[in-house]
Amino acid sequence: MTSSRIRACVRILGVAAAVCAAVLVVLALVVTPADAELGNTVRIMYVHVPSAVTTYLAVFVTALGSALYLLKRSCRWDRIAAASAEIAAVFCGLALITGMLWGRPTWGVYWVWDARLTTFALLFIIIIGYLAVRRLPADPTVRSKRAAIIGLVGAANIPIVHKAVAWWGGLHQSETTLGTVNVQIGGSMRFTLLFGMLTFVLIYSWLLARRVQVEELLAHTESAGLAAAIVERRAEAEAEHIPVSR
Amino acid sequence: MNQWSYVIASWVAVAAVLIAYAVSVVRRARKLGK
Repeated sequence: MTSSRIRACVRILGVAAAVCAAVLVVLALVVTPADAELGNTVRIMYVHVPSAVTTYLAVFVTALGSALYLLKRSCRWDRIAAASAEIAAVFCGLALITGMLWGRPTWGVYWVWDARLTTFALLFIIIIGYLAVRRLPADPTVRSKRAAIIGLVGAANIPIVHKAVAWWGGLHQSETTLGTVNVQIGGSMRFTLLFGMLTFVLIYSWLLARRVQVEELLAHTESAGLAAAIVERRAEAEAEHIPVSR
Repeated sequence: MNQWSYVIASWVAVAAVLIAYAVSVVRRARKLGK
């Protein structure tokens, strides 16, 4: 695929994400009814659940990129993992914030150390750790290898987060829409929740495409800067009549 | 605060964070692409 075609696809993806986001606002805040038990706070679910699901997806892509980097030593996979991890941090933060804003009117507290919340907070810390390791001054290969290992650890935490309520219980409710045993919502509410997930996945895909582009430009700038520094140093050495090995 | 305050706060937070992040990514790409 040519670069102009890729750019056109990314642009279409961005427009689709923006249109879906506008439709989601209308569906979630106007069209769907208030829940019989939760009241209007159910409208927070239409951004909270998609944020959490997109976090899972972003962490999974980071782990996939990390695993393929460790197997193939391809910088491209490392860049995809790095880009996805940054987006994962954004969605994970949003899931935590919206969860707290839902918890206050529903449970009476913003935060409780229940199994799902604690494991999800741990996932956020792992993602931040991944991003911190990428910024440590080290050889790029060593840095990428260390980050890849943390990326895999983050993905290993996802099944634990997902099953935390079933295994340890707590205040957080169990699966609402994608559960196989007890589907708790239906009709326009279920449709809006699924549409929210689709919208957030589109937003994630567009952000990933743009963020990978940034990583590629950064790598290009770094290598160009290094080449320029070598040329400059050689010129200095030649001016001082120091023998330079080539 | 009533329920709608929490709902609006959540949606505003999500919109603000996503728009700010998207703008920062596009700006970084433009700056590096020059």
